[in-house]
Amino acid sequence: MTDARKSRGGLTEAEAIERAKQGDAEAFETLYNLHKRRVYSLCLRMTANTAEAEDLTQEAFLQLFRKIATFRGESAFSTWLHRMSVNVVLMRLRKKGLSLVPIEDPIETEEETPKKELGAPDSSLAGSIDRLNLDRAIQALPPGYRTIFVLHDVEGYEHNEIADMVGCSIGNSKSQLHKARMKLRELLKTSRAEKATKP
Amino acid sequence: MTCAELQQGLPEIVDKDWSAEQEKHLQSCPACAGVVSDLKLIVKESRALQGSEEPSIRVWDFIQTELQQEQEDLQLIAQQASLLRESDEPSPRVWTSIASVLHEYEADGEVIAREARELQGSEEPSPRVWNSLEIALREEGLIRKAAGKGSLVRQFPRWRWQTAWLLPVAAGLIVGIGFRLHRDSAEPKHIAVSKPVVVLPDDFVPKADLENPDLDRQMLDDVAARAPSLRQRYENDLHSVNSYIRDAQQSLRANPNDEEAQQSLINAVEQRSMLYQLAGDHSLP
Repeated sequence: MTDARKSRGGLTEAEAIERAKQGDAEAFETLYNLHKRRVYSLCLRMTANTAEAEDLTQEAFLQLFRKIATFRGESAFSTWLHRMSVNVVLMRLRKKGLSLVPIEDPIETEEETPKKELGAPDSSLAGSIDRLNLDRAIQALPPGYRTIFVLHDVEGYEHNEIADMVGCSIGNSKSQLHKARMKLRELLKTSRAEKATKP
Repeated sequence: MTCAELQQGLPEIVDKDWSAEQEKHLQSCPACAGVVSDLKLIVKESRALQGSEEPSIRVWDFIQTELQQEQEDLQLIAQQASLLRESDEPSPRVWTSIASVLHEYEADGEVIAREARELQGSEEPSPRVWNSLEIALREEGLIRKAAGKGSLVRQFPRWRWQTAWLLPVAAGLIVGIGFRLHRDSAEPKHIAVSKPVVVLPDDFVPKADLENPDLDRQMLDDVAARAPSLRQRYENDLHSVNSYIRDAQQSLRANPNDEEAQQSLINAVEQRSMLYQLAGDHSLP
């Protein structure tokens, strides 16, 4: 089912899709405005680079407009566009030679074990996270952790979908996600601690 | 449950729910409870990041420019294609291909024409046709002798019309040969002029010899020209039948009244005649 949202120009998504298939420039702009944030946010968080994120956003939409005639409406348009965007980003990351998923590390580091946190309630995030800090923390994650985390926790993909897109096992996807979360927690705690110590 | 055991189940606890045992541990362990709380918060806040960023205006400007360029390129291609369709001038490659095919057809046509010309006059009627014709002409008194200069039969190969006479005059030849052999023989003979084996026609011209190497060669050359693969076979058969004739002749020299030798000679002459007829038959491949 396609989104019934209306753009500022008054076209619904379904109308815009049909017109875009005919090459209507206004329809293209309508679809771009409806989905630009989602696509760009995905590209930005996966690459942690603004320039590259813009470049990938352009590429994703150009691909969309070139292939829109093949959209048959069997899935939601946003799902189709989003999957296309993810593939564009992953291809770019592969071309750069980045490891999308780190090799599973069977040995847990001490910092991942909460035992030492016993008796230190102020070491938790205390129920609030600054969004800016969260963004920064995500950008600071290793590329492999960041990919899995963004796809699962930000974009909402299931582990089986992630495994298919990234090329890993479901177990590996789950493992890397947990490690990414634990790493984020650590980064956020460190950031909070640094702020607390500043005069 | 220990903290380590709870740690093992953290992903499920964060994403789904925890068991009673895990619940009990979390209630008694602030550290583990804190970890679970932090992770759930991270997941919750992260989900809110979806679609939170706005791209700069540059992104759409670039997309728009690219789309316009592509549209213009497509229109240009469509125009060029339209011009090509309307153009009277096909690609030079088209004519080259056509010319090549026509050349092949022309070459094939020349071969066909040449072979067709060779077929002209290549079919020859059976010797029986001339036999019937000559008999009719003789009855009408239009010809008196067989093959000769100025004769009507001149247009046919000599060996063909001569072989046509072999069968009907075979018996007469036997008598002729018998007289000749008897005359040439050094030993006195008891000329037993018995009743003739065959009644010869009045205008019968005895052959000098049943064997005629020139005629044989001519026949074999003709076979070779039309069916090279059969020449050797005909030569072998001709050799055999000529040997057969010589043996019969030799027997007749010794004893002109030898009926077996006479029959053998007749058979041999018939075989030779049939061989010539087969060679003259245009059913040869």
